[in-house]
Amino acid sequence: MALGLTIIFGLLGFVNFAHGGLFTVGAYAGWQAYTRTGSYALGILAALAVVFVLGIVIERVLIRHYYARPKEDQILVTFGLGIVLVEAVRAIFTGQSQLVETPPWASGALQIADLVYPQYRVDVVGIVALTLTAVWLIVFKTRLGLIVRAGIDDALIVEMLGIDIGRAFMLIFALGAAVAGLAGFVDAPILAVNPDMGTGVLVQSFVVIVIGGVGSFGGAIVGGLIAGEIVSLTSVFAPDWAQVALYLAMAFVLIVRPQGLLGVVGRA
Amino acid sequence: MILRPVGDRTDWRVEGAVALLLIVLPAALGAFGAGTDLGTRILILGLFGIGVDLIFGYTGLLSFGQAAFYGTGGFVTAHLLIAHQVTNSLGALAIGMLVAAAFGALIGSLALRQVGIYFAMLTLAFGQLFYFMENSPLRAYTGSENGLPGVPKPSVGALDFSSSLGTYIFVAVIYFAGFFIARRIVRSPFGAVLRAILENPERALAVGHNVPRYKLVAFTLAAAYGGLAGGLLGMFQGYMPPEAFSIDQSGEIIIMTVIGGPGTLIGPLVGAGVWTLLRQALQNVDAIAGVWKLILGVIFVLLITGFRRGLAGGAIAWWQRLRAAR
Amino acid sequence: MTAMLEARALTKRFGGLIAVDGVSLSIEEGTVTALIGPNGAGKSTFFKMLAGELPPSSGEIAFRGETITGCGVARACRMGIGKSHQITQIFPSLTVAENVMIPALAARRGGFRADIFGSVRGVAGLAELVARTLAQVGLTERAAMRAGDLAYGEKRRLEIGLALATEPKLLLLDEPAAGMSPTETLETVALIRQLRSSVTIVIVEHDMDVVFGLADRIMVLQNGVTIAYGTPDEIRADARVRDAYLGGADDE
Repeated sequence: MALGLTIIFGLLGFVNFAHGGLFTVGAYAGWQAYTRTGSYALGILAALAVVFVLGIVIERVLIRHYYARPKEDQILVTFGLGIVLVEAVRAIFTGQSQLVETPPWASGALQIADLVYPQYRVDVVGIVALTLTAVWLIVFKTRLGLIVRAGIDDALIVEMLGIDIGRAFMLIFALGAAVAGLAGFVDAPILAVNPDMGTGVLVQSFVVIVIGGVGSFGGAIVGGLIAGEIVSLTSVFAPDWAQVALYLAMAFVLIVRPQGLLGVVGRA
Repeated sequence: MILRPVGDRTDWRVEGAVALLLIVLPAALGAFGAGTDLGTRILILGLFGIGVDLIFGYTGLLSFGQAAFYGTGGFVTAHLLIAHQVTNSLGALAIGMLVAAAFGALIGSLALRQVGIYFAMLTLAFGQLFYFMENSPLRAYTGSENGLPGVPKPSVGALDFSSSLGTYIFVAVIYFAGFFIARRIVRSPFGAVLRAILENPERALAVGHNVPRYKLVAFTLAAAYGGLAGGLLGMFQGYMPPEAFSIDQSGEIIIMTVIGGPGTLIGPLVGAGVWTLLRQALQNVDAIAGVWKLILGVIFVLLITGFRRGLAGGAIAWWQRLRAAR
Repeated sequence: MTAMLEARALTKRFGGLIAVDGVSLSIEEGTVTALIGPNGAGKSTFFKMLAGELPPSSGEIAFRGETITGCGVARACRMGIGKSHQITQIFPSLTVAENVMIPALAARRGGFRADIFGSVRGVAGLAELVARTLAQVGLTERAAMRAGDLAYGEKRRLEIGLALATEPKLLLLDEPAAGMSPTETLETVALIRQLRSSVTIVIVEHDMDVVFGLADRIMVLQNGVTIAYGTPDEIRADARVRDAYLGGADDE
């Protein structure tokens, strides 16, 4: 989830508050596919595909016009977009929570050393790792990724070289969106599927990015780990303060080192 | 986006028009089958929004954490009244407002060290911080998910404002005072500098203004407005809800301000009106009951994209063009 | 007599790049000093340090005897250093008069005043300062016009006007004639000539006619280092300067 945001924010320098909405749409798309076909893999595909396409549409229709607009406007429009997405989902599927079962091959628990983990959660880690590698490959090893990275630095030159920067941006946005959608579906068995699932995750992924660093993959991971640890530890020692501690940490980082621990300066 | 030029206008027409609107509103609402209470709610949100407009519409600061002050003012006021530590409605409101303002100054001094997105994210973080503080550590004072019930209706000395209309009048008077003051602020030299900061903060700094301090004062003022509105909410509902701290609340007030028109002071009131009335109207129509937020979301996106001035803003601009053409 | 502005061995490093290397400059009150040099010579960077926009990596700046190194733009401005920028930075949706009022407010009210209930009419001398500045840059007729709607040349004049309205003792002009037609350039030169009686000026320019016509002293920078400093005649005769500009003749 944070990864998708990092991609969009870090690479495009564009703030996407609609990410939570994309997460939710992905969850619903995947869920629909999964329950209708009984295939988890199809569920993943559906989540990815639907949100990817959605991302393209959004980028072309809306976001495209906003690259030159002040940051506040970007925030506002994606925020509004997020609401539209969530409400549309609510309208189509009603507001009830849906339970998604973990796929049979991932049910049960694993025992690793002394600790017992639900099997599915371990699998999720695996899926996340795979996704991370895939995205990293795309961004750093492909021509597309290179174009975008160059485009961020100097869009004019890239255009003069005859490369369609618009298309590259669009694809990257869609990619970031798709990752969010995937996250939505993958998370579905853990959270329940309902229209509001994205909001909490959105805010938390902001925290993760801030702590770990904007525009950095490693940052998204590190941030996620640190955030998780903060919540876990405080839950043990001072449960009342768990969530508060998380936001305190975020605020602290933003004040002291706004680019995060591993972040790249100069994106905002 | 900002329509009212800077400067000095001893023109009371706007204030007069607003006063008129406030007087007429209950009757107008009645004609549409809506109760006076709806008007009171709109006013409370409108007051909250004046503060937001000051920082966003006039200074260019987008804060997603204003609910922190709304909630703080509300809970402080509510607590004081419930615990009978203060029996004067106005006194309790004033204290709630001051506490909110104090937090505004504190958070502002931290959050304003950043600009743009980082600032927005910081305010978001602080907003959430307050929400969870209400939820857990301060449970004893705030009632956590249950909020604080039993907030007494407003009264001033011998005057009792507990009826529906009475509460409306109480809130309307306070709203008007808040609006009046905001107009003064915006037309003052201080307000002129805020406008400059909105358009070109670097240049404002380069010509000698202490931009960070202006921002901080504006932010504190916004917190005060939020706190006052929160206090009124508690009194109005007889109950102080924890949702006042929620991120949804922060988001909603921004939406209302944008829909109504940033930089107009009256915008948030218009936006709150549209939001509340539309919600009311649509919820009575079964077929599309669940869809009111979707419609508003779409309107919001459309407005930002094509019509940045918002409803009131657009109306004012049109009016000014008419006058100029004469 | 102490110089009005003394920059001593100013250096600015950006990572591994040294943009300005140990440049010193002394400016006498009432003079016009021009800063010239080929592109990339470090003029803009040096200028930014003088204005307080960039803190130097090393070196010192003293203004009228007081050290102001790294004090920041707002303070430098309040102390009397005003700058007009190469890229026009005005307040587009305010009127011209309101534009000029903004710096004037700082000049008359200081860096900060919480006069939230005050009125602009109550600020002593404000109207007069605004009117005077508008007259100086020839924009009195345009006073009620939206700044964003001005013609390019008029916007540049407003840009200078904004710097003037801060009532500077030292005025830094960054390519004031940038992008102007010959007529407009002449008008700008005339304006600067008028101003020199009331304010000390430092100007960065590429247009050599402007420079040689106005300056009392010229400093030539190349690759972040001073390669010459002197009167226009001395500079004209300087072989190193001619080499630096390779082909001598200049962009018109």
